[in-house]
Amino acid sequence: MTFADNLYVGESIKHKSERILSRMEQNKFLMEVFCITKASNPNNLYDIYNYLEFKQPYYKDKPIHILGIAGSKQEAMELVASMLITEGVVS
Amino acid sequence: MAVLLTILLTILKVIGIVLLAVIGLSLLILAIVLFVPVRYEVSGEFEENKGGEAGISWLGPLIRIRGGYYFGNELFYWAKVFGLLVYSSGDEKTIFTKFRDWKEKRAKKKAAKPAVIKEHKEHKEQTDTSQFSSYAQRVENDNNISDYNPPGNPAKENAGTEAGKPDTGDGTSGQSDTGDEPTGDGPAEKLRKLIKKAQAFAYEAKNKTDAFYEKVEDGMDKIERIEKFYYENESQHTVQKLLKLIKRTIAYVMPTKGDGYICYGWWDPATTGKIYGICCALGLVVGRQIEIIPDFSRATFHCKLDVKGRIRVFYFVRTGLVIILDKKIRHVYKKGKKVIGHE
Repeated sequence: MTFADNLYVGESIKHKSERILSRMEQNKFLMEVFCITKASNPNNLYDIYNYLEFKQPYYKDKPIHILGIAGSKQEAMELVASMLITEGVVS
Repeated sequence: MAVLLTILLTILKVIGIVLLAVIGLSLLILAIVLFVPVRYEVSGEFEENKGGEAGISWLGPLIRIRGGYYFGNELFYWAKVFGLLVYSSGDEKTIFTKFRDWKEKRAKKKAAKPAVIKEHKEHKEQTDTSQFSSYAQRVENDNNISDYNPPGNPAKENAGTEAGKPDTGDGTSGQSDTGDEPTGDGPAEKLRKLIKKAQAFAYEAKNKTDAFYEKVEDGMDKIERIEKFYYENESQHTVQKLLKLIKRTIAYVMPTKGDGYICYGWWDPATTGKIYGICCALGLVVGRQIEIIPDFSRATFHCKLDVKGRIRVFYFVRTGLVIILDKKIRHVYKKGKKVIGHE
């Protein structure tokens, strides 16, 4: 699991982002963390996953590049919107 | 010289005999504790009378404990040591109550004899109570003095005026209601307060949820660690060994003698058959003294059982030694302690 240099972090988990990132690096259990990655389907822009999904054996050997983390799915969607604006995809 | 030697040898002989006797007695007691089994007995019936009783005895009549319950009657239990009743649920007098009665009787007898001493005692008690009453009076007087509020003491004056006034929570508890200062209880103010309260509540709830999540995450870490530890080779060996020991212990504790029957029937004959199948698979049906009779025609349950067994302390000592002396088990135990976080 790798993280983007410019990682987007949701407001609700900003205060505990260090703990979350260290736990994610160690592949430990985390509750209510949603990850934003590049879309697996080239027709889409981004994918939103619940972090627990990455604990499944299927993702064990898959390289995952995380662009942002959020405390809820709603927040993850808002974060995606802000990412789109910041990166100039949408004006 | 020869006389002295004889005396010395005699003393040594006596010491040797005493030592041997002490060692022999200790060994005998140890052997009795280790090898004389604790016998247990359980009997019950579910026919006309419904109930059961259980008993434990050690060294025949030395220690006996028994208890039971029959439907419609009260629970009963008793314990006897050397045939003497020590503890009982009924009205029978135990050895302690008998001893207490005897003590009371003796005290009464003693009290009845010297009348002069009794009178003196009563007089002494009276003087004691009078002393106490005077002391109580003094304490009361002191309290009255402490309630006295001197006119130049502002703290006490304020305490007197503010007592009983409810705290509103916004720091206005000291304000008077006479209309000298604005109360600020308009609808906008109320709404602001309500919003503040809601925000505080939401903040607290979020903090609590975060704390709960962290706890769950830590718990999951622990579970993952234990799972990893469990599947290690060394742990597996220990688990297998301990399981074997547990199985053997259960087999050892199980009753050695049994008599009776269990007749059962479910409303559905198929379920009755399934239960009978499970009993057969567990080996409870063939070659057992307790008969299991399935009734496929109706829903019923009646039984009569009487089982007996015995347990020796030696078995548990031996099992304990097997566990303690096993290097692998000890190592796994130490490692397990670290994994769980007790060390």
